[in-house]
Amino acid sequence: MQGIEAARAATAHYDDPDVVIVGAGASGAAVAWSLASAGFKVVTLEQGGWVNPQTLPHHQADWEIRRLTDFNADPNVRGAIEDYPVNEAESTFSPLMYNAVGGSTIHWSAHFPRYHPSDFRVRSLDGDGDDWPLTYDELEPFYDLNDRMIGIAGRNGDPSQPPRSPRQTPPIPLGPLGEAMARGFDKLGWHWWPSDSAIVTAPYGDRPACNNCGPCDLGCPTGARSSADVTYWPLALRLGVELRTRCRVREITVDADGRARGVLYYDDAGVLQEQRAPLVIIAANGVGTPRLLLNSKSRQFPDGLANRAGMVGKCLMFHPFGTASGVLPDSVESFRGPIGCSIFSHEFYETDESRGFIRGFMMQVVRETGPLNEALGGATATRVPWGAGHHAAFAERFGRVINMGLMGEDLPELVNEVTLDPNLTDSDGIPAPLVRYRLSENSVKLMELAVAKAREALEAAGAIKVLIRNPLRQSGWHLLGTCRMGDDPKNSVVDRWGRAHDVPNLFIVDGSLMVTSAAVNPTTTIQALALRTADYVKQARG
Amino acid sequence: MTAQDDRAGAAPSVAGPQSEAAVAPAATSPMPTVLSDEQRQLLAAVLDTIVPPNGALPGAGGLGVDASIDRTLALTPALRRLFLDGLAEIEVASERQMGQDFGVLDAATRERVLRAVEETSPAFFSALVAHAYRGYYTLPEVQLAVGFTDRAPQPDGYVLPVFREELLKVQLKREPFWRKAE
Repeated sequence: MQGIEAARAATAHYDDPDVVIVGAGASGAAVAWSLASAGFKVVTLEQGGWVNPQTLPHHQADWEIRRLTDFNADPNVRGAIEDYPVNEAESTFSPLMYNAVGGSTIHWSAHFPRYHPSDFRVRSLDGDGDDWPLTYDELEPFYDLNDRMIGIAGRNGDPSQPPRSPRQTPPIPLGPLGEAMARGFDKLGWHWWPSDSAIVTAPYGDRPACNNCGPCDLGCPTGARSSADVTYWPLALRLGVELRTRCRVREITVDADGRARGVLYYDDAGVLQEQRAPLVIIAANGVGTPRLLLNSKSRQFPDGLANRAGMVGKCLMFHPFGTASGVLPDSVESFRGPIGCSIFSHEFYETDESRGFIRGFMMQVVRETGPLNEALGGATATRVPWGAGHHAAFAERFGRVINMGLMGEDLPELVNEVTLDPNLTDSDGIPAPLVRYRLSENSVKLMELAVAKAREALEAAGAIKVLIRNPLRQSGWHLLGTCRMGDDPKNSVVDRWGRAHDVPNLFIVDGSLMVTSAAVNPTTTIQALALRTADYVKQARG
Repeated sequence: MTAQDDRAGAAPSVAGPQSEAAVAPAATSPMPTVLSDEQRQLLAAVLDTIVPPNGALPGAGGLGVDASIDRTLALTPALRRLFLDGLAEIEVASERQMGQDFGVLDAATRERVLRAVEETSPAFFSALVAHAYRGYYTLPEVQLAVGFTDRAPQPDGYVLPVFREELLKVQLKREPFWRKAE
């Protein structure tokens, strides 16, 4: 941690930066590092602060309670000063996020799969959704670069995906629960593979190997998990990036020509400031970015910045998500090991039209965490009953469950959207986002099969009982699609490089530019796209 | 992925401003209390019904979870009304159904009374059970008794085992099956 402390103290100061970046999470950090490495003067504004690894819940006896309170993934539950409220009353899923240096990679299980090649060609292959204006092959070098930069645990050779570069460290061990599940998949002849995890299992750079403590979703005290605060940020700060924390951007200002002039923000003392820059990059996630653009109204952009086509905030995708927990007759120490990383199956990932829907789903083995979490419902939010039967019911589950996360592909739909709430605001008075989302018919059918296949797999692994929660409300980790990328300015917000069609010096690099959602966790792809945009910006400057 | 407490159920979200330990590291801190002695006794009896004794281990009330809930109420004004009204509902239900104070009922009758209150006051009862579990399952003696560990995840963590390559024997025989796309 000394390296990070030293780097923090060394933060630069620029009055006239080359670029201002909004957001210091997964993608903002990657872009800041990349541009600074080419000599750009970078200012990054982040509404949260640094998370001190020494004050993470993992050091305290009541660590499980903090998952329910100040370290909850839901900003509406946390209600911290750096959080903004989200009106989610009309959404099937609660949007989850974290506001800090490192963004949502702070409370992150670090499951790190890539998109498949077919995920970039959904319209051509399956007649719905859209094609991306780029291919897997174009993105592959940036996936590889990102993996090297942050350090991955995994094993190449997965038959469900193209071959990839050697993984930096060996896979996270499966544990007795993962091994039981692997035997179940093998029995059925279904695919499984050890997860690519953004965690290092051997020392990597100045970071230590994972010490297997378990609750990655609450942060990582050792720095073994490859979150943005311990990977890109120390390097970016050494390269001279100025990181201003507790600075909340209210809007992007424009000049008379309709170009972005800079950003208006409340600084750490609550004073409104304007930071001008010839280039503005937004990395504020799939809810925060459309919120910011829609709140940036001007004479030239009366409906919000970069919104001439009316597409800002449209096509929100979360991933339809449900969970299944198989209860085994004996302990498999389900509570031991990194919570989100063991094995996954892509047996049903690609389209098979005989199933009655297009696209597919991932099955991801997820571990249990502590006894409190299990009593309150575990992965399926099914509370252990109280009363005379409580202890028997608890003992039947604790340590004996194999949890499976079921993540389907979400297709872009105009009705799923982020807009501004007319009444709700954050603590600076900035309008809060209002999220509308409902599952499509395709998603409902897809998830029905996912649940049935999960049950079959868990029973093959020896489960004597299977609990199901579909959909799982608290699963809106992936905030995608609300400023989509495309060649046609009529139905997209940014071009193939992340540049706003309407504003030539404005780029977006977070999950909002995702054209389709695939059926995997998106951070890998978001960071690869951000690095690709950074290369484009560097080349454009020459 | 974690179960987020009772948000899948009927209860409101019940986050406190901070966890108890973060605010008050020592159980003996002089902290204002919300419940009277009578209310504390009633709550302890209720908690022993929700999480009864388990072998040699007392129930949630016997282990002092009533005190931790009292501290939570002191720190979380939004919960006070819910719990104060809820405890009153339990007394009223006991009197109405059994003609007796809750404290003198036997265990099975207590459970029957509480099932009725769960029906009539679902938001309170869901929060009560959640806070009973919070207090109970974060006690070191309980964590040990259920086969977990009584220490925090850090700084020691646990030995990271070695990945067993031989597990991949079947999968390594499979031909690539990803869908090609130009």
